[in-house]
Amino acid sequence: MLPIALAAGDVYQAFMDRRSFLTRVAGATGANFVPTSSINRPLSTGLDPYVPSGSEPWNSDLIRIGHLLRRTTMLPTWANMAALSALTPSDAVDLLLNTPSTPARPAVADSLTTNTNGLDTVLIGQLEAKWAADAATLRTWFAGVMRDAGTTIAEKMTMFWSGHFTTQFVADQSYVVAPLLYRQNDHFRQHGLEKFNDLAMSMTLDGGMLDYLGGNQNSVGVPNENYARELMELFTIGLGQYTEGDVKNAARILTGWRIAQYSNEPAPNQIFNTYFLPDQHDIGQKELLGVSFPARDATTNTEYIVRQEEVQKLIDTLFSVRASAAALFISTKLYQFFVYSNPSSSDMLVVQAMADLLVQNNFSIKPVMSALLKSAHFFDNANIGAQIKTPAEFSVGFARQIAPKLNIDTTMVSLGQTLFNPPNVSGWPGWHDWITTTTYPVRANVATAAIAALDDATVTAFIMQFPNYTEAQKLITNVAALLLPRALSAQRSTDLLNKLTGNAPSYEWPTILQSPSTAASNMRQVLTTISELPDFQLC
Amino acid sequence: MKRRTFLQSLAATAAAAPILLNGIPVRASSPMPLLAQMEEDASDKILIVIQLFGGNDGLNTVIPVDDANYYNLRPTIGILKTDATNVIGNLYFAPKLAAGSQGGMVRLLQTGYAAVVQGVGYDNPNLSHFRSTDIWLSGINDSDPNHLLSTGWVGRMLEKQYPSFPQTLPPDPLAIQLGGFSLTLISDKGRMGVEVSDPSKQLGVSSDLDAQDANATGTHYADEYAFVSDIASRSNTYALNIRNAYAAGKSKLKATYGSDSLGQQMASVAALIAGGLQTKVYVVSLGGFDTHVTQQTDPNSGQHPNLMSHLGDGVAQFMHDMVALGEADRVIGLTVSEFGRRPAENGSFGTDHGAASVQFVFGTQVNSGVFGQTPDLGNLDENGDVPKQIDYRRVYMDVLTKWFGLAAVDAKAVLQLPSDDITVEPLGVIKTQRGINSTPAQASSMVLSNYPNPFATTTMLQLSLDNASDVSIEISNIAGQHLGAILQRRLAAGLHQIPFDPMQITGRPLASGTYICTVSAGTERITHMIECVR
Repeated sequence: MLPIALAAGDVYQAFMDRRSFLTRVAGATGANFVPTSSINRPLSTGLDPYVPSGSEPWNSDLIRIGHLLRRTTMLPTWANMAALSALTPSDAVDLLLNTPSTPARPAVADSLTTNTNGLDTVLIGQLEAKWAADAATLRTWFAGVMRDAGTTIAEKMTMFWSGHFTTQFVADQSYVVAPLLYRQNDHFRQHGLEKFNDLAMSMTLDGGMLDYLGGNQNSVGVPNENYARELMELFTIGLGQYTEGDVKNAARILTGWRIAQYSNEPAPNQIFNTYFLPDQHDIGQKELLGVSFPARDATTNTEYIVRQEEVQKLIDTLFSVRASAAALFISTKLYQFFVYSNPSSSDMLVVQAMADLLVQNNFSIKPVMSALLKSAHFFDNANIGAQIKTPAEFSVGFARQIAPKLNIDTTMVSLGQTLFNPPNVSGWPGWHDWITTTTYPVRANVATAAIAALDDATVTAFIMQFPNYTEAQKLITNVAALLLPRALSAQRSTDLLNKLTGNAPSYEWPTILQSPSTAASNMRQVLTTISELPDFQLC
Repeated sequence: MKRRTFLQSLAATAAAAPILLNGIPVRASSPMPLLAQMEEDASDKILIVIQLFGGNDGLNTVIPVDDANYYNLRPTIGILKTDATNVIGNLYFAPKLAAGSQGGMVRLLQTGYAAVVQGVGYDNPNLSHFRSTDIWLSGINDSDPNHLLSTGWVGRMLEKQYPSFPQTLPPDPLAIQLGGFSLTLISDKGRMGVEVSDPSKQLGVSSDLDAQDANATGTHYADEYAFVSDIASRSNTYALNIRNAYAAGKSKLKATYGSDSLGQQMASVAALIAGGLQTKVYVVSLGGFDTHVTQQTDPNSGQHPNLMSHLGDGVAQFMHDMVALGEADRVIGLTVSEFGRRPAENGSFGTDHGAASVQFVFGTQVNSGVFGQTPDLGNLDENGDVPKQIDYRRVYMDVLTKWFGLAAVDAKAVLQLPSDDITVEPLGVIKTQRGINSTPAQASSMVLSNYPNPFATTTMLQLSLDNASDVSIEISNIAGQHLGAILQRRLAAGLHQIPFDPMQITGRPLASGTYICTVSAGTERITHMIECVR
């Protein structure tokens, strides 16, 4: 790559925006806020619907069709783009939101193992190896599900929630078994567009979560504060919305819940299900955010009653006393995941509109996602191609679009993202953390190697999926529309065209196609060039 | 090539062409000003920052063996005096801090190559991992959680020192982060360094870059396109230098690094330094300190003991190589961790988030010993946590002023403190370096030693002074309790022999144990540990 001169102000505008964003968050409503943006910043600061203009009708607007699919799926196939071009933007969003994903249950979902009690180090080592192998099996399964998914947002929502309500497969030498990871993952898939507060309730008693954040060890008299703190700080209402006293009280409220995950332990509600130990529950009076949780006696210290009167009440308290904070908190994360990682001050007006809509809909996620994805703001020129591809998007997308045999899990790990194992409880940090001086070269190398390994038949099938593929210029335009987020410049178009034809005139392309190996070889050069571009790292 | 050699050859060749030095264009036609500038440009000092993510349990790192409260608060995970390792005097460490062929952090402290700071933290402690990490790494204690801390203290220091970055990239990276990129190295100009995972495999991106979408000016897309392009450009610029330095340096290493993550990171840093890379700051990290559950199975095994072993051994192996290679005087390192853990254990054989904790500083240029007193566990804050004694930015002030030679006012600016702030002064944990005299206020440089050591009744202190100063030498015990003044008067520049007879200071002989001599002269302060054995 040639060194390029960049004004610091251009390159690092992002950092400036980040501060003003925070100022905006701190200011809560900001009704009098005046956007500082200049040219080409998003014009719409609300959720007004996108209406295609006469000059850019939806059915031929490959850039925006691609944009919608890049943000809601693990990158589009050409068939996905063709399917959506036949709809209106609103119908396209409805299709994505209403199509369920129902992958077959993997065998590893019911893999039975024991705990390590009484085992010597050799047997413990074997057990840990089994847990690790099961997790790898599950990762490959999830990667395959994402690769094979159709026009549905379900898998992207599953990725969103697994980076929000985090669980690490292995942390601090402690393992969460694959059956619990599977159940949590599938819960996100099935319920990811439902109510945020219901998800918070489910996750509070989720087996993987209980094991990961110490709930499984949280007992009367000696509470473990780990989950209670992260529930409020990272999962629901955010920092600054609670006190250390609330952390201590929430920990007490949540005492007594256990998960049956090993075949040699009690499982009152069947294996892999949560159960309640009354004698480990703190029946004393507690107070959270000013709401009293009265003391109880042994007759009401039961699984059903404590779940309703304490756990559910805890969630209800967070979502009523801190309703606007919870709504803004999750709306900000949804915006950062689906629109742009580093929202500007004016973008935060859209986030606030999302939060308002969320409260109006009792925290139901689907109406908010629908309004967002149908909005003029979402389709604004400023936001198209503005996200850095996550390793998941890069790897799954590469398999969906170019190299079906790519080992997605290995590729993702080499790019810094391991499914079911975010770096810590706050999930994957995202944004600029996804591209470093280490991982950008790895992306380029993985792509180059995978493209070189494609056989002629695969490349030929890639070429022939496009309409009018015998016309070189149309083919290049469509390949770019599939693989890059924005329109090609004239210079790039010419460069790619020359690679496609081996510097022959465009009208020679049909002749070159007569020799499938030459055509495939030329197309590999086109793909390699595209895959190393900075904007191939964007989506 | 060593920087000094480079400078000499630069002066010798003295061509008229502009030369890029650390990205700052300088003309070599007049060697004298150039040399002066280089001296001021902060020499060839290197800083290692070891980030311990999760909140290191200070009370199971430095063990308060003589405090009954400790064992009451930690009936199952408290480390008994008989299990802890005696470092010197009544300083006791977690036993695994002595692990490894080089004797770990324990031997470093005994050799005089490490210091431990107790009760380090900040006012209004935040018990969120993420906010507290940001407070530590930014060097800004802002108690409003809505105020995002978006730059790091090292990033801002480098930004001040290298104003032409990144328009001009220096020949070697200013800073290297092993593992994911940390706030420590970010400034308003973005990342002040590069990320490396395996330096033997560092690669660049070669790609034809052409004009991007003309319709993109001013969009979020344009911001991110520029960011990604910049990463590509940097990876290309540095990949070869990093690979070459690593290859050249790796063969020179003699230490036996562990296979754990920190051991491998320290080995990489050692190789890059040995290979002559001119990088000034390395950030490495070790996770797993969030020990809510079963933090140990016994004092010598389990999660926290393993981490102690990795930390102590990683640093000790690294220092062994640095000493053997003659690089040790260029290198200083420090640990940072977002908080300590609650003194009272929870019911899961672990500990929840706490407040003040301990910090290690290592290198031949530290004033070895213990800074701060053993926490008073009978006197905790309203949340049941250890209160702060020493502001966490005081060690940063040492690094900024004594190590990298920033004027005090510039160091305060880096930490975004008012220029007249007097609450965050250098702690004195780093010795004043020769050649770092750009600050008028730092005209003096002191070295204290004693003979014999250990001693039975009396010992001779030897103090070296660069400038005439009003000097005081105080003696205190290892718990920080002040015992008296050995000397308080003006001394001329030069070497002074000062006999120390405890009978004359305290009226009675010293009990066996470790004692701290603190020398103050003007704004400078150094400490030196002496040991009495009767």
